[in-house]
Amino acid sequence: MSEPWKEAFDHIHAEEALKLHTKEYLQKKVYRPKKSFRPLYGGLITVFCLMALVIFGGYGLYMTPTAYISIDINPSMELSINRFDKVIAVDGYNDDGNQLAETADVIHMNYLDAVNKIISDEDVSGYLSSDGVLSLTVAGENDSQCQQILSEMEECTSGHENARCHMGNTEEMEAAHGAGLSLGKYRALLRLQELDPQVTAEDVKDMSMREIWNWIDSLAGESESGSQNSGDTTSGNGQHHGEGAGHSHQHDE
Amino acid sequence: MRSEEDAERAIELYADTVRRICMVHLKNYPDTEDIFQTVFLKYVLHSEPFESEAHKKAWIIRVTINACKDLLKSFFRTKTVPLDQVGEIPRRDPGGGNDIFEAVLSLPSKYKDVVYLYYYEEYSAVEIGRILGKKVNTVYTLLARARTLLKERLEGGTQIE
Repeated sequence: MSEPWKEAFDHIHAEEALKLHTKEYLQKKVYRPKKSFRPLYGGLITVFCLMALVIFGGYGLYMTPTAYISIDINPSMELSINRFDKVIAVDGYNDDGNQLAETADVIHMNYLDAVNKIISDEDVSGYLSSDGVLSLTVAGENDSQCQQILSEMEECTSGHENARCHMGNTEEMEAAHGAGLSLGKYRALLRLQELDPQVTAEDVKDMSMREIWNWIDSLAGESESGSQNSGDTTSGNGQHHGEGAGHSHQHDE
Repeated sequence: MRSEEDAERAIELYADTVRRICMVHLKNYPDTEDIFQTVFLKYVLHSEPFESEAHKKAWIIRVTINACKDLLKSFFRTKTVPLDQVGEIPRRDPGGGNDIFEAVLSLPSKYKDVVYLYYYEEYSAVEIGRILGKKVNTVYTLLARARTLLKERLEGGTQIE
């Protein structure tokens, strides 16, 4: 190399700071990258988790039943009610009940609207007009909600002479489900079994409430024991329920 | 991927070469830092072995020249001038050989690499062709034209050869 060219470029050297920065860059980029998330990502993840918590937590709360309304006439079915007074499930407990549960579009409706819609159903209103007995039984963990529902059920059915409203409890309801019956029909079965222990759940499963109560009344008549000695208290117009002639609201406390 | 020790050794050995090429092509220090990071990151990630130190040096020169060209032809750079560079005069170090250095900087970009590689790094036209990806005859042509331009700029002054 000629001297002038050597002189022209030999004096150019990489600055120490330049070399140091390059080494630091490689360390940061390749050899010791920070594994922690950037604050932005951390924030996004936190927001996402909170949203998921709110959405799934809210969904869980919404879909948890806190009360049940058993509706029995001949179609036998139960409505599951959440803490927001919305119907979240409908279960049928006999063929007519299953059919009505499938066709009655009451999910996410307020329970009062749902019960009104079901009572207005052609089959149910047909039973009611032909002297059928409608039994509405409320049960649940939340006492104040159950009392509120029962009160509204009584008001709702005040125009139907053969409608009966009862307060049940969750233990009875579990036993009823174990026997394959709705709560309302199970309570009628218990009443029947007091008079005739031979009666089974299968015997009453497909009977209408009118038929069950007629059976109860006939057995009660035979044993000459009052049919109102079952522990129920009558808060309706005080008429005997056996014939279904009056509008009787019964409360089991 | 190459080890950290290997990377540091390469930086110590070839930083001056990379700096000189940057000096020929670029006008500001931040761009030079970018080129250093690009070149040595590529070196670290280049896993194929080199046949020799000369091969490694030629590879680094080629990567540096390509990185400089990429930087210069990026759309943003061709359309804008950094604020800190407005009115800036290219950095010139005083000292011997300054005329030649100034003359090389004043050459059109396409001549700078062949001149630097031929006269300072003392590569042959064949080697330069291999490094720059050009035909040998093209290298000779570029060298001849560059020599003419340098003679014009250095007339009456420093000898080129």
